[in-house]
Amino acid sequence: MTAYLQLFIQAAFVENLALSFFLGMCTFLAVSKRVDTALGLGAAVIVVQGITVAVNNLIHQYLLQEGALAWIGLAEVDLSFLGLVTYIGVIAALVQILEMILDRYFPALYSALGIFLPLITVNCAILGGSLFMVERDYNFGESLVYGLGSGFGWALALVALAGIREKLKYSDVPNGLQGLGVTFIIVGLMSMAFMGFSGIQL
Amino acid sequence: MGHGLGYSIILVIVATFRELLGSGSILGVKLLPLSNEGGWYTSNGLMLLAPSAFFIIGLLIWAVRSWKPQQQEKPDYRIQVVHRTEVI
Repeated sequence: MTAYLQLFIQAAFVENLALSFFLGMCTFLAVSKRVDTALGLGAAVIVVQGITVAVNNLIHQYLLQEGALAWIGLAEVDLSFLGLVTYIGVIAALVQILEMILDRYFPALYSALGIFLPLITVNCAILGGSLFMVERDYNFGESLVYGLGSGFGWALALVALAGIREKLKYSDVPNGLQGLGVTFIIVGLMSMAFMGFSGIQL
Repeated sequence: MGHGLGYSIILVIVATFRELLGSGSILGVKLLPLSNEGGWYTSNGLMLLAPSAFFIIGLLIWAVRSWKPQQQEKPDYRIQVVHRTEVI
């Protein structure tokens, strides 16, 4: 249990996908203008990340990995070259389902997210999560916790940045730094703050 | 093509700053002798970590937008300058 908690903290704070790996940067900067849309996208990313990393882990373990097809008698087959295509396919299918659900039940959020909802499909944070899972050889439980943790960390960074940017419109920013420039500086400061979490051991 | 070249240029600029200030070298060639090897330059460890990339990109945006002011974004709100006779 402690190991899972440790993994969650590690994925959410120490190895934050947005702030220490620069993953999902475009959506991170574009949707962080208002807190409520940021919360919506953050929740969507947590759901997508939590499910895709776990599902991709099952696919990797039982279909693609070298020797994974031993259960139907093809022990020498190595399908790991199909990894990227499969992971993208799973992510795309899941985002499609999520999009339909949001369109049906939360139309306001659906129109606020706009193009960035289908862009979750090619969000580097989501694919990055799956690839880290493969690289670090997580088992099913670990990959579920890792998916939820990294999604939570990304959503946390997104919502925090949106909060800061909402307050920032009352500040007097130099003309050249207005908008994107000052956002980058803030993200840098947040990334420094998140570095303070490194070295946490449970 | 234009976007790709622009991306490469920014990548090279950011990498140059980070490598030069972080480890005192460019493309692995020592330019600034480090103090822990007997030189005069104390390397800035922060430059090798993630935050410095954000700072450098932010400062680059500032530089480019000061150079080409038509790229500046309009703020949603502007603090209004009120003359003291208008307050009363």
